[in-house]
Amino acid sequence: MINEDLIKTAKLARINIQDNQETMIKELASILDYVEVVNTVEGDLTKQPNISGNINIFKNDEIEDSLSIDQILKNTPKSSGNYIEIEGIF
Amino acid sequence: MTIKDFQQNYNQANIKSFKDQIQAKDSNINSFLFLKEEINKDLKIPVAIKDAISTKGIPTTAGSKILENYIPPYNATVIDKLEENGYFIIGKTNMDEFAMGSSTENSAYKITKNPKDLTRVPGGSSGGSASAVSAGFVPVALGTDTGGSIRQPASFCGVVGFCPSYGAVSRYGVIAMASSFDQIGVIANNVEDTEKVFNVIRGKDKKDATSFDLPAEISTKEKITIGIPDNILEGVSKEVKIAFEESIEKLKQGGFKFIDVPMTNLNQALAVYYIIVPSEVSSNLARYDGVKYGKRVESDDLIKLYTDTRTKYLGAEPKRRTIIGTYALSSGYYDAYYKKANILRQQIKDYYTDIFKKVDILVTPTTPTVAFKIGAVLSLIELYKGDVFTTITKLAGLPAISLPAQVGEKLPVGIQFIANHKKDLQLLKISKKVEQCLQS
Repeated sequence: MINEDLIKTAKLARINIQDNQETMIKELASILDYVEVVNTVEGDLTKQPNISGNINIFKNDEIEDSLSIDQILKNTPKSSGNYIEIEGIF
Repeated sequence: MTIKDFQQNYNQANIKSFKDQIQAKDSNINSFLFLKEEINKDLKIPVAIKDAISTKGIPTTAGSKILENYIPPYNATVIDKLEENGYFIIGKTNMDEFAMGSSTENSAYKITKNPKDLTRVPGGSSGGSASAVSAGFVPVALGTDTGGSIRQPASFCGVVGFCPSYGAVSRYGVIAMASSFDQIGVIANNVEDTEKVFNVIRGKDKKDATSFDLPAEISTKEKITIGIPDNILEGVSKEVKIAFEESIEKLKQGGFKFIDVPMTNLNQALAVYYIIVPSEVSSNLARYDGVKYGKRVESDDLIKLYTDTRTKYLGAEPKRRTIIGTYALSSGYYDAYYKKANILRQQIKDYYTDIFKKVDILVTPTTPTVAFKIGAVLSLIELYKGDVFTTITKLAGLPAISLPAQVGEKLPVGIQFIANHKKDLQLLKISKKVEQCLQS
C-alpha cells in the first residue's frame, strides 16, 4: 500500500524513479518508518500552531526598481524575444 | 588565520600570494567551487561564501547540477552588507546539494576533505566553508544552517560555527531549502571574529519579512548558569564523551554554574524535523522545473520536460526529500504526518521556553561522533541521527554556537551552547568566556 503510494507520489513530484525503484522505495520506506514516532502525539489537529509568531507583516506599497527582462532572460534555458520559450500546454 | 592575523601579515606587496596559496593548497582540500580572479588590492577582510548564497555575477549552484550554469542577477542582502563594510568576497565554497547532507559528499561537483585528516569528511552541508577556515585559507566564511549545517562541519573541522536566531539575519538571496529553518551564520577561528561578521550581516531587512533587529541590551549578569540535559551522553561516542566531560570540568573551574535539566524526547524531535523539512523542501524545489532558469531537458511534452529535467539534474537526497515531503503533504497523510509534527514542534518550543526560565544557556555535544571517513557506508537513518543535537534547536529557531572542545593531535570535537530566541548577543558574550576557559 505504502509502496504504491510512494510510486504515485514520485510521479506527482515529477521525479522518475523507474531506474532504481527498488532501492528508492526501500530508502523512503525506512524514513517513513522512522518518522512514524510522531503518531504518538495527542492533541487537537485542527489547532495548528504559528511557530514563528509572525502575523501579517506588511510593507509600504511603493514603486521600486526591479530586475530588467534582459537580466532575467540571461539565465533562461530557451527564450525568444522578451519571452521564456516552452512547449505549448494545449 | 584570524582577521588580526590577516591584517598583520598581508600588505600591498604580498596580497597576490593570498589567492595563489589557496589555489595551490585547495587542490588537496577542495573547499572552493569558484575563486574570484580579482585581487583583493584594498586589503579588505577576505570572506568565503557558501554556494547557497546568491552572489551577483558569480556562479551560484547550491552544489547542484540543475543550477550549473546559473549566475544570479542580484546579491543576497548579506553579500551587499559585507561588501559595504570592508569585506572581500573571495569565492564560493562547496556544499551538499541544496544543503541536504552532513558530509559535503552529496555535492554534485566534488568531494571536500577535512583539513585535520584528509581521509575524513569535513561535515556538511557547509563543509566547504568550514574546511576553508580550518585550512587557513580565509579568516571567516558564511554558511547556512537548516539542521546543523554550520555547527556540525565547524565541529568536525575544529573551528567556531554560529547559527543565529531564526530571523536575526536576512535570508534574502539564500537558495531555499526549508524556509522556516534556513538561517545564514558565520564560521571563524574564534568568537571575536564570529561576532564581528555577525554584527555586519544581522538586522531587519525589508526583503525578508521574518527578519528583525536584535534587542540591544545584554544582561550584565556575572554568574552564568548552564543547563545540561539529562542523559545527553547516551549513545555518544567515547571521544566525544571524554572531550565533553573535560570541557565541563574546565568550565566548572572557570566559575560557571551547572544544573541538570530534563531533556525532551530527542527521537521524536528528529522525526519532527525529518517530516517538516522535507515538506518545505518539496515545495521549495518545485521551482526547478527546467522552465525559467537552470538546466532543461527538452521535450515536446511539458510534463515530460519537467520530469526529465528533475530526474536528470537533481541528486539522490533532494529527490528522496522531495518525495517524502510530497507524501507528507498529500491529502491522505497530511493529518498523520505534517499536522502532528507541527504540534510536536510547538511542544518542543514550549519545552525550551520553560528551560530558559531556569538557565542562561544549555550545553550539549555538537555531534554524537567525530568526523567519519570519506565513503563510509552509513544508513540514511544513521546519517540523520548524527544531526540529533543540532536539528532540535532549529525546531524552536534558537541561536546556537559550536566551539572546539578539543584541539591538537586528536580529531576535533565540538561543544554546543544554545540560548533562548533573540539572545544571540548574550550567547556570543558568554561564548567568549567559555572559549577562554576551554583554551586554558
